[in-house]
Amino acid sequence: MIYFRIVLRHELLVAARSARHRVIFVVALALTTLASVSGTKRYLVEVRERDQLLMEAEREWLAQDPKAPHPANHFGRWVIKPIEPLSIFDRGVEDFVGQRIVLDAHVKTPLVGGVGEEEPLRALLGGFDLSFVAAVLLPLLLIFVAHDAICGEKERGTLRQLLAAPIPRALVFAAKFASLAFVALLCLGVPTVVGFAIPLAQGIAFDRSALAQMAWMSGALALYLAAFLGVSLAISASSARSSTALAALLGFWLLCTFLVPRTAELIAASVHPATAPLSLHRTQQQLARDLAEHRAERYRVVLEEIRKQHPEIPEGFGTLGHDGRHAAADPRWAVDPTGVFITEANALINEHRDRAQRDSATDGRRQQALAVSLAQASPTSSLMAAWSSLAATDWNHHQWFERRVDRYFQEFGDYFNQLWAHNVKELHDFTAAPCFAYAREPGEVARRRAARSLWLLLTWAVMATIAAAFRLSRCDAR
Amino acid sequence: MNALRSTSRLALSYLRLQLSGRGYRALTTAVMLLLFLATERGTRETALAISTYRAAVADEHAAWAEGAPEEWLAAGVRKGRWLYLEPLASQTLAEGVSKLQQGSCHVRVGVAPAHRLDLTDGALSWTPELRRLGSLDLGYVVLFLLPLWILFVSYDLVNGEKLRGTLKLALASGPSRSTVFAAKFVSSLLAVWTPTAAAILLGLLAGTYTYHAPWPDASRVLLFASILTAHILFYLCLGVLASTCTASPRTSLAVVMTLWAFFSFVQPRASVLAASLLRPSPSTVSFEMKKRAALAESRRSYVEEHHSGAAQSWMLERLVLAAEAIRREQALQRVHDDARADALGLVDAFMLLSPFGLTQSALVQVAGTDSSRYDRFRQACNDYRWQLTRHFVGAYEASKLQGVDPSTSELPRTTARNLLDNIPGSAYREDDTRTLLLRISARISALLVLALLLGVAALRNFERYDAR
Repeated sequence: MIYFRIVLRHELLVAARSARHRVIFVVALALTTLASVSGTKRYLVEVRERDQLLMEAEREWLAQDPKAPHPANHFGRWVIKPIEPLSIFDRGVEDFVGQRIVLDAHVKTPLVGGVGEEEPLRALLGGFDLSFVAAVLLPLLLIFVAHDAICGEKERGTLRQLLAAPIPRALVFAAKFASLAFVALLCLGVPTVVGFAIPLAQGIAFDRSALAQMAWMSGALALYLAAFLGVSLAISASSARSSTALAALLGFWLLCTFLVPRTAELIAASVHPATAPLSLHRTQQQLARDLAEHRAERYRVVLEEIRKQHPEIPEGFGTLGHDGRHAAADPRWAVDPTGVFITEANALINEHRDRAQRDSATDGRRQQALAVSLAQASPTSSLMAAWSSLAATDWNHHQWFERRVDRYFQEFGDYFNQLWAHNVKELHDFTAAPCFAYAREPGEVARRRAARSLWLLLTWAVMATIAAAFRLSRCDAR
Repeated sequence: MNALRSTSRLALSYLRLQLSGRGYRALTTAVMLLLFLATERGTRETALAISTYRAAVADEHAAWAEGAPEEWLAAGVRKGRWLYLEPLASQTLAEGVSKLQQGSCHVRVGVAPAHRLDLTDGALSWTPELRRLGSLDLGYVVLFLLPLWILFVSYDLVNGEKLRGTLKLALASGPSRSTVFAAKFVSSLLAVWTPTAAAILLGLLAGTYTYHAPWPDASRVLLFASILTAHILFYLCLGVLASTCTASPRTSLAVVMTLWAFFSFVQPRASVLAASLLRPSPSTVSFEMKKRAALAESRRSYVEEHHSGAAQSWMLERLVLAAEAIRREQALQRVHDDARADALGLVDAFMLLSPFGLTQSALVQVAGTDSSRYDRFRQACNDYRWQLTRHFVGAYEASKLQGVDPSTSELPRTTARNLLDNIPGSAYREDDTRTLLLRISARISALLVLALLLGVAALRNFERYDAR
């Protein structure tokens, strides 16, 4: 054990004197600080804007003039996606999904307002968040730290001297491994902790669940960097020259960070070619035309029935899409035919729209599922998937939100249906309309979803460590 | 003449040497394969986009013309019109923002909500993970992977030879240092440019033959080739300079890799970050709120103006209201667009400070997949909405003068046909080739100047290089 300590101390002293390590530490610290500060700033701006919009929307909803239920329903209510505090560290798919919707009676439009749609150049170039720094730049810095750990000594001839000393070979390599891990922890771990701590220092309140997710995110990153460290040592021990080791490691980095994810997308696009956006659009248009015919037919039947019950309604009245306030405002008529029709039409329209979306998006979703699964062959994709699941910024969490919006849309429509059913002519009090209630997906669900990626990362870390140990045990000092 | 002959002879022997390297052959095969696959995929997607565009336009014409003509005026208002941005055959060359922006727009007037300009079909929201993974298109390979390959080919061009001891021999065997340098440079350029051009050309031919994709405009292809050449020259000069500045290949590899990572990932993202800190984009959320407020205001002023007097036709009322709302909204839109253009202009300015930004911006403009094309389309749709609304207001007023209320009664067939024939068309126009050429030439020239500076510095270093 004493030998281990001596070698470890020697290795640490050498590392401490290295200017390269100091530069890497400063660069890592600058990158994580920048990413975290900008993420925090962005989060604060987004939260402020959202709160402001919600306040204005509420005021707008309550201050509207008295009107019939039908135009009140058309007046619409805003739903804006809540901003997850952990999106400071990982934006996930947030830039590529819609963030808000105005619920407008029976017209349920897609969510809009993602960065990808409004500022495509920004989305194309990518954001500078902590997940990008952690997944792409930190392993690159780790490679610069570790690539010559063994082959550098071989080149300088010092490895031969070290192995010639009366110290067991296994202890020498264990000490080198431990010192390198310690250096990596100092150079990259400390800046990451600083990155995580900045929002806390700026007064952002994370609840216990968010803090737990942050701990899991740090664990995932530790496994990821351990995998890269293991691979770096294995390649360094296998190479005769440090330039060869560096080139091979850069190739590995490139493969993990860019080539595997993008090739996965390319393969998925060949296996499940998605329909062109305009094809989806044409399908939807056809469905919309069918729906319009069906709707017009149904409207005629409903109107006929109403006329039988209410002969006071004149013959000319009842163009499809006619504003209900005409009926409501006229005291001669006891019923709002448009409102009655919409009670039935809502369910029909939504059913058609959901079917259209489901059918037309199937190919794209299949392609996406395959691409995401294939991309997990790279530890970088596993880390990013784990982080976005834990930060609640992944696609699954967005779907959770969309399901809540659908449910609210139903509640909102039902509320007006009730008013029509009770033949309310004019609405004065708007406070009774249901509000959008949103509860974040439970943290355990997110962790369960991240578990697969975490297992993959653990496998990568263990395999890389075994590979490093194996290569070191067979390392040739010449 | 002799110098030229000896340079070319030397360049050919260097090229033969390069081609015999196992590492070079493996890397070149991989890059050629990626270039071919990316080009072939691009042509496939472009062919599909163009054919569906044509079908969608035909559908729209049929849908507009169909139906009973006597009902068309009311139905036309409700139905609205679909406008589509025509996909260019050149979008094979770089995907750009084409998968992030919608190339279709539903222009509706007069129905609730009367002011809607629908520029989304939600396709983006269905597969966001794919957008996050990114795709392997030709633009990506040229921008990110090609420089890496060039740098791998050139990082040890001089110091690698010194390490192996062959540089001494080359310099002692007769030709001047500048001849050796030129021969090395030309051989590397040929070793990189030829396989790249061949792979792209093969991909284009394969895609055109298999999917019947139209061939991109010759002018755009030529511009693309010029950008590609300038891009290759820049990175080659960078690699050669690094190999003449450093003693060991390991150091030059670390330097060029750091520069590559900086240019490709850090600088573009840092540009976005710096621009958003210095000049934040205008909030679209508050813009939406202002639009809604403008609509409410136009509704209020309409009620004050008209509801005191005689009752209007219901549809005419909606149309006049819509026209007023659009007028107010367009004023707001102009302010919003100006602020947005200012913010994005700063991102562009920062981007143009790096070779990556110069190439990226030139590539997407040549391919016609830059966001400005979509912005112009959006603007044209907005203008068209105004025209269409005014057209319908005019039509309704005319029909009322004839004593016919089109919302409740049938229009005479001739009037309907006449109005249908006079529907205005969208005013979207592509940039003319001259403007495109000027913009892209400026970027290519900047790249070439940078390459020249690096090349001259590398030559000066080489002339003083210690070969021992």
